[in-house]
Amino acid sequence: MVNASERDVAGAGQNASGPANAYTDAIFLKDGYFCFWHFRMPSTLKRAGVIVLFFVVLTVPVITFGTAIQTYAFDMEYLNESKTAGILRPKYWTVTEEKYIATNGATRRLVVLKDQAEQGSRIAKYVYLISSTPSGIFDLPVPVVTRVSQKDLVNYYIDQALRSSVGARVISASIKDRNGEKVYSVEWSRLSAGKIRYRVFDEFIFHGDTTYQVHAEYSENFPVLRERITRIVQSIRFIKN
Amino acid sequence: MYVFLQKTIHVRLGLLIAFACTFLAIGGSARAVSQNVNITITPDFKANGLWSLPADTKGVNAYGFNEKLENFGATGVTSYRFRSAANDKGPLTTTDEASTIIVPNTYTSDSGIKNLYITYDITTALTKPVALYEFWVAGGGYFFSPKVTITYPRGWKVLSVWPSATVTDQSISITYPTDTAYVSPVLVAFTPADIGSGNTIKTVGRYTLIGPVASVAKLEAAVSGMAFLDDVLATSLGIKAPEKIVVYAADLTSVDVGYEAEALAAKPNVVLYNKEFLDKQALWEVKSILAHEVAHLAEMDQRLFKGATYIAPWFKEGVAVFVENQARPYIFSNAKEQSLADLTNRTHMFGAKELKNRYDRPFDYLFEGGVGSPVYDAYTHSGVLLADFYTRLGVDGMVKLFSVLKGKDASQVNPLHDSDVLVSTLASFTKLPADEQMFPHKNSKNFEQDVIALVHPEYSGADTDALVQYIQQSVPKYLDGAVTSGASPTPITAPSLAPSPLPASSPRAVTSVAGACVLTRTLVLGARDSATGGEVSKLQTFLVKAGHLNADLVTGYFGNMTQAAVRAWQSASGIVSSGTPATTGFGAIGPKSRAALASQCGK
Repeated sequence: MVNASERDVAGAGQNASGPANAYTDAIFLKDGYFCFWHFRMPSTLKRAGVIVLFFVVLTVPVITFGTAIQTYAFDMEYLNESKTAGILRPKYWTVTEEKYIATNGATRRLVVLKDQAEQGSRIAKYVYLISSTPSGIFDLPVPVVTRVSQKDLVNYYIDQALRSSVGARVISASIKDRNGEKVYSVEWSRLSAGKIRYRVFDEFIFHGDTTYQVHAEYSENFPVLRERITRIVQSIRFIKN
Repeated sequence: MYVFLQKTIHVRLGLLIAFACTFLAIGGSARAVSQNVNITITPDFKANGLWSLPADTKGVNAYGFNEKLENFGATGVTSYRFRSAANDKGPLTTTDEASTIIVPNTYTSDSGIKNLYITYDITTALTKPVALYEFWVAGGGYFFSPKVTITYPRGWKVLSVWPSATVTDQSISITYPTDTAYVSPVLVAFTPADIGSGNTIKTVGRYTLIGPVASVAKLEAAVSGMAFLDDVLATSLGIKAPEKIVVYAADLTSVDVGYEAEALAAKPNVVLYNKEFLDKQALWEVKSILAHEVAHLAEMDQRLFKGATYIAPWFKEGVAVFVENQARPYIFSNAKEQSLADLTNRTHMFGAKELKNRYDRPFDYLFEGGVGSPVYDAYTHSGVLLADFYTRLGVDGMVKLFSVLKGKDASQVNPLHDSDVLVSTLASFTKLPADEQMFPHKNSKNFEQDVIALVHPEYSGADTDALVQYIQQSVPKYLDGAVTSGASPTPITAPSLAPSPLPASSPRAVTSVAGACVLTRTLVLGARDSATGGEVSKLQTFLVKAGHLNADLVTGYFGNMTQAAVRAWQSASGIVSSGTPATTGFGAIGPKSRAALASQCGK
């Protein structure tokens, strides 16, 4: 399990997905996202490198693109343990990553992004990135998922979610093409403990042998969160096949 | 976790934290030797109680008095107004911790103070068919509550009272049991004279069904086919179901009971069923949930655990899941329906492989849940523990276990302590190490065979065919826009999971006893026809003929009732009359029983 924080962005010598101090983090601006690349660097150059990178990250985009970019200047792309996919993580959000065996035997990787300021019943927003086999994502036997279309698998997921939720409503459900990937997307809402209505996003991407699910929720008491949450949900990128 | 309120939530345990916070806010145990509590609720309710403390209770003088009148889903206002608190010396300052909780701040018991008076006003606005009045005192959980009287408005009907009470037209006189290890709330369910348009009350056997007309009709269909429940409770736990049961289908979304619950049980005999779930569930699922909740009513009514599971909910839920699963042969109308329910994870039962995979996760004493460890799985795992205990020691072992647990004391503040007590008590009977107590047969080389009585059968090709068909044909096409409805959609009612009704196939008709004399396999609890070449049915047919089993119970499944019948026959035949299936073969069909059976069958 790895806990990362915004300190990693500052290149403090700790890497969220590797041994501490084994690498120096360099940050590049790539396609509008801030990414980690990992390479060895002589220790004497670490501080200088970090300072230069800070300058690049924090000043150049502002100078070049103005305040619109500054809004997102604290976001970064988090690479999950398997290095197959990344998703935006807002500054001050924490990341927890774990791998476990689901009851149906499938291995599931789970990346949880939460605002570190929110605890317990005060949690108003969070994002999960789950990856597994289709059987692991949809909790169905392999002989079933191999015979059911991707679309019907997602329909089944939605149906199960509605069965086990209170006051659930589907807002929209669609299939989209995004960056060359077919994305099955559903936006719905439900009532939760504390009598709060949550807006829920689920997106499914069947990428090679792996299925990715991005699951996000935010309290409808804070509609301003919608923009940030949807940006995170839609930010998934695949690093390698 | 709602043990302290004597309620049990079927699925959601969200108020555990709320209780813990309340308990901590209220403080520890108390020092006073006795006190009187006088509650006046006006204008419609009045309640007077006498509470006293055991002489040896030590601690801080801090008590909480929590009263509320819950009118499920009501849009009207039920307001509470705290008037005063006083003891023998005069008025007390208090802290109003919540709208319905009062905490006296300066009560000092070591100066000869024995009486404490609390006065509330309640203005009721009842708009729904059922109201639940609740009053409880917290302060360490050791209050004696020998007398409580409540007056209620003319025309109202009392549906349920706990503790046992004398009920007249407008008053209730409650007598508390002398055993005080429970924190003992008063729970009274009322229905107003006018239950509101669109609602109905119907009595079906022991059940009083209340709610919207359509909901009551569905409940009636469920309870009409649940006569088996008495036998299941008797042969699995050795206890009885309440003689009267009130089932109320309600919108629980505005009720402070963790409203993601599908249903919950309230002492002594009320099942609150979340109407939304009731509406979208198949009949088997309704029966299953009712069996679960009635099991809670029975265990609460007979106080099976005393204080030992005060905040260790896994054990209570394990008992209810165990009963729910023991009822499976009588809940599903056919094998296809059952396998579909299991495959879509709508039951509290694993397959053997799933159980083994589950063992890779830690046991969750508090059901905190999470993506990798859902509460639903935790319930199921708990049911496995109880089922394993039962397969080893039978109903007699269950009765002895609860007899011991009734004598246990609980820390009531430390869930690990309570769980330790429970595990060590279980192990004192089974002689298993703690790890294997919590993870039965974990290290077995024949795991799938050893857990056969604890799990559902592995799916077959026909089962997966049925599930594929269900997903393709019955699940709504959400992604085709068939059921989306824009920014202000109407709620979606998910379809029934049950497949199209099939001809009734269970129980099987007893048409012949031919061949019933020839058994070749060892038959134990959990055996099925599918794995034994039909020998379970042969055994059951013989037991029917021998007068030890009801003809309706020839099901092809070796359940607890079959086991009970086998034991009765073994005793009557002088084969064996004590022990367990594992030790003496009592309750199992082995070589000696097979020979005796063949001998008797030929006569």
